[in-house]
Amino acid sequence: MNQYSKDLDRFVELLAKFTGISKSKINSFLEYNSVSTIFEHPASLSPKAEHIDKINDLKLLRNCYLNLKSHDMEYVLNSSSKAGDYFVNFFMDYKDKEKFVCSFLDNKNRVIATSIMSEGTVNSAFVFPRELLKKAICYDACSVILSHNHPGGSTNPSKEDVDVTNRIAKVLSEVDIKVLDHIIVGGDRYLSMAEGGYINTQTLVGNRVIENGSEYGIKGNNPSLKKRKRQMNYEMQL
Amino acid sequence: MKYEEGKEMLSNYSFMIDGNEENIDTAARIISKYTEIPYKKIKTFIMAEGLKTLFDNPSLIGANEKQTRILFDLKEMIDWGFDTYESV
Repeated sequence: MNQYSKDLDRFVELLAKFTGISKSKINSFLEYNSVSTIFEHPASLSPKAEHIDKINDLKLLRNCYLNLKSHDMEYVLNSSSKAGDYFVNFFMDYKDKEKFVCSFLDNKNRVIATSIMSEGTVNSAFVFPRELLKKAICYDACSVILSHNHPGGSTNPSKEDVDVTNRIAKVLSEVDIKVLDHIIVGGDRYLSMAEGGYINTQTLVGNRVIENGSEYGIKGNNPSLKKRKRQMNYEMQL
Repeated sequence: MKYEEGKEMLSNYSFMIDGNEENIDTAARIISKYTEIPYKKIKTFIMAEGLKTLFDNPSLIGANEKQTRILFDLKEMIDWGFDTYESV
């Protein structure tokens, strides 16, 4: 049996399940007609009103799915600059209060979902590692990127920001989920805590960015980008 | 609605309402009919998380085993190899 026959069998099985039309009737119809005909002219398969309604429902659902899917963008956050841009854009509409959000990523750093984990007042937001862990498992995430905004516009991380990041990283590391970065957004600017060396690189994957999309960083004590930039500026001045 | 490099940024709540309320409404109504998950619950979920997430991770909406099977089958049904074998 070739792949097409297998796929067609499965299609018939599912169509029978969702419409109540017998498999033998669908198979007989498909001997001389295409699958498309079923959706374009449902009455040609079965004249019963209830069958026609169900086929039309499936057709409608397919159209809705395709329409919604075409609007779904796939975001790959494989570098701190991409993550920074992503969260600056995200917080564009949330300038009134501090919010703590988390992007859950798959093994290729593609965003599975981005959720607001907590909302605070104008200058504080609380986040519970337990809630974050629950969501990360639900989404089958391989890694996460944390972010929060400072409505005041500053991007300097506080001691609490560093502490909460390390606490979350520790909890998630128990289930092999990496915290790749924590982005702080202040207005149109952002700061990557991994890039700035604020995060414990022993806990995280690393702080060097590679662009092949497979990992956000690499293991080891590589000099941070900030350090390297500083070094480059110094060399240029000389 | 936000843009980055000429493309829509983030499938967030407001974006979904702006462009796709009718699609979401229809999808929620049909899925509710098959799964018996309340229509409003599905609609809210699709608005916040997207239809793809609903199909890929039914546990997030609290679907039971039977409802999860239905959602997986529905996705398979509407995603069947139309592009490979035919175009509707």
